[in-house]
Amino acid sequence: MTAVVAPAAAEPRRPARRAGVLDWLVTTDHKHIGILYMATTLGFFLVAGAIALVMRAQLAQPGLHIVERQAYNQLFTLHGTAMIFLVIAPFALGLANYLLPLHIGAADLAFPRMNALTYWLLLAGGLTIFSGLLLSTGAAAAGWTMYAPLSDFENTPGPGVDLWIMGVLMISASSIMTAINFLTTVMLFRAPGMTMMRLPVFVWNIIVTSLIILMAFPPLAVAMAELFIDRRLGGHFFDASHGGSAILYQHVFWFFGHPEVYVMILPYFGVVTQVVSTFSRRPVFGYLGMVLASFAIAGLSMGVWAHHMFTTGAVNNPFFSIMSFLIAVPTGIKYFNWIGTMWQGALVFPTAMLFAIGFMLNFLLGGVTGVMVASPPLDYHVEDTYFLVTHFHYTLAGGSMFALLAALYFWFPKITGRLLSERLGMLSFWLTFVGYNITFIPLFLVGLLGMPRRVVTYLPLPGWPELNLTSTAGAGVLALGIALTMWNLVVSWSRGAPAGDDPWGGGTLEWATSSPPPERNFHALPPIRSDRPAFDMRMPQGTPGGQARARAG
Amino acid sequence: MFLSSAAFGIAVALGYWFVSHEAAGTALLGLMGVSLGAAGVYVARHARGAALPADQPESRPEQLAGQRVGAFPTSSSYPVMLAAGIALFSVGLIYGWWLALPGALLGVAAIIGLMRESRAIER
Repeated sequence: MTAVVAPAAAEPRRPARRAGVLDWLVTTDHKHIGILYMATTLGFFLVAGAIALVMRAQLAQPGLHIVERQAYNQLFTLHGTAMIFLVIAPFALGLANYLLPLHIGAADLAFPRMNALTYWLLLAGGLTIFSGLLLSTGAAAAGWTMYAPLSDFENTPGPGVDLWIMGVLMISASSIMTAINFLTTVMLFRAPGMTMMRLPVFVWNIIVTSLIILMAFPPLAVAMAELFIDRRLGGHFFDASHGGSAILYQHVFWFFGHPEVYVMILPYFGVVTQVVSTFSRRPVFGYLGMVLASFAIAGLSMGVWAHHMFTTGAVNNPFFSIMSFLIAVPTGIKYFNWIGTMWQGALVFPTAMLFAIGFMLNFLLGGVTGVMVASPPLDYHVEDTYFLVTHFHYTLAGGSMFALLAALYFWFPKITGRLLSERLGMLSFWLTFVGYNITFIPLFLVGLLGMPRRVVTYLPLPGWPELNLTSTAGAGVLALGIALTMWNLVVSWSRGAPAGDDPWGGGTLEWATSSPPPERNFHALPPIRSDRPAFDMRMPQGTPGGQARARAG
Repeated sequence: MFLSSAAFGIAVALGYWFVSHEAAGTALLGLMGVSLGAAGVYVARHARGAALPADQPESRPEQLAGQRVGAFPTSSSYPVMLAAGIALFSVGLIYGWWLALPGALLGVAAIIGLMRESRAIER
């Protein structure tokens, strides 16, 4: 343990020795923990993606028997659970783990040991959830939403759901502790001159994400505890025959569940902002608007949960409909500002920028269909059909996943010191983008034709088999695109070209240190006078007032 | 930031109650407002008079040189121990005390270890 002083003189460089397995088990360094997070979540991503491919194979034609009904139910439950709890959200938190101290000029997070704990709890939770597959009764199979009364002990006996509950509780604890860590770090460990309004937009989005986590995950923990008490300890929270209410589960679950989707998108909005700003060679357009829009999204997101419950008849539909429509406004502001950042910029299109633009196109479809289902009459028609499934896949997969890939291509050089192959990256992008849309556009259509979700097979109604087959073909192309990126990661890890400190011309502080950064992140910090301190350092003449400020220091 | 979010939470809770008279959602929103308010009050009290160099726009990194900014342990075996303890305990709640008890003991040992480590860092 060392007490750290702010960097003034160069620290003596210790010869680096290769980290062994034991070092990874006991590390508390945010960069190592961030790498652990990102590697683990990518592993779960490949597993959940493989599950999706099996599902698409089963649905390619009506009446197939690739998997049987109960196995299929476990598959879609694990796919959803893994993607939401073990991939999209924790990858973003792992990326933030790595970047947050670098972005604010700190040596580490505020609570490094708690940080390590959050990673190990995530891994333990994920393994616990998947361990259900080893049971004779199988893993949890009631959908990632785990609604009562399907999930109560009478209807789903066997430990699969209980393991799921415990896994989700561990992941909840992990996320809450991470949020506390991030907020404390930003409040207390910013470098001199790094005022709140000079923070990178990515950091602001992480602040807002952390606030949402603090507000939304405790209710999830409550829902999980209540479900466990109902199942194993004689409770009746969700049991209408004893004075409980199944609708109560939905309220508490979705009070978490809706903000959770903003936890899954806001960090990626931040990624897109950083990538777009860098490759437009322009500062972020409307910085204050971006910050306020994030807060507006977070606040509104806490008040829309029952739009997942329109068809229960048990909630006030107009209230939730209006609140849901309102969320489109701050999101639209962000789009406007991204376009404003790119407008008349000197645009370049490396792979990271391609994925960011792919994000913007896909998420637009997801957001617009979201506004559609925010209208109760429209929602009544498409609730629990493939239309809804496609809406949220466009936001989470077409959106967050694409931004995740953009983040990989953008920050891999900083993390490893090596460049990813741009050739492989571009090929991967086009296969991923085209494959993704061939997979999901037919699913919009088949949903409008009435195909329900979470079904192991379907009748050969007009159009359904053709659309499903097309979708499965697209899934194959998408899988190939993802595989190329994974191959790119593996090959470039050891054989990529050296990246140098700043291969992209980035503005934020991580580009002002080596790739990878030294143990305490910075041997020396540049003066911080704007939200682009690395840019200011390299191009003092490029910032308004920059020359005068560079002279004054 | 906490205080304005708290005010928002309480405002939405009140609006929601008037519109729907639905108990669960109102409780959730109201408590959200209250807890954000608690956090906000805590931070406001403790931040009184604290002038961080980070918040001064013209400060330079060298001004902080030589000052102790915090303690950052480079490694610790207790986090992974604690996670293992929590995992064993949680799964033990399903399968029986023979699993839960070792998990709880491991967890408690890890927490004690973390506390002792903290004391050593503070010194």
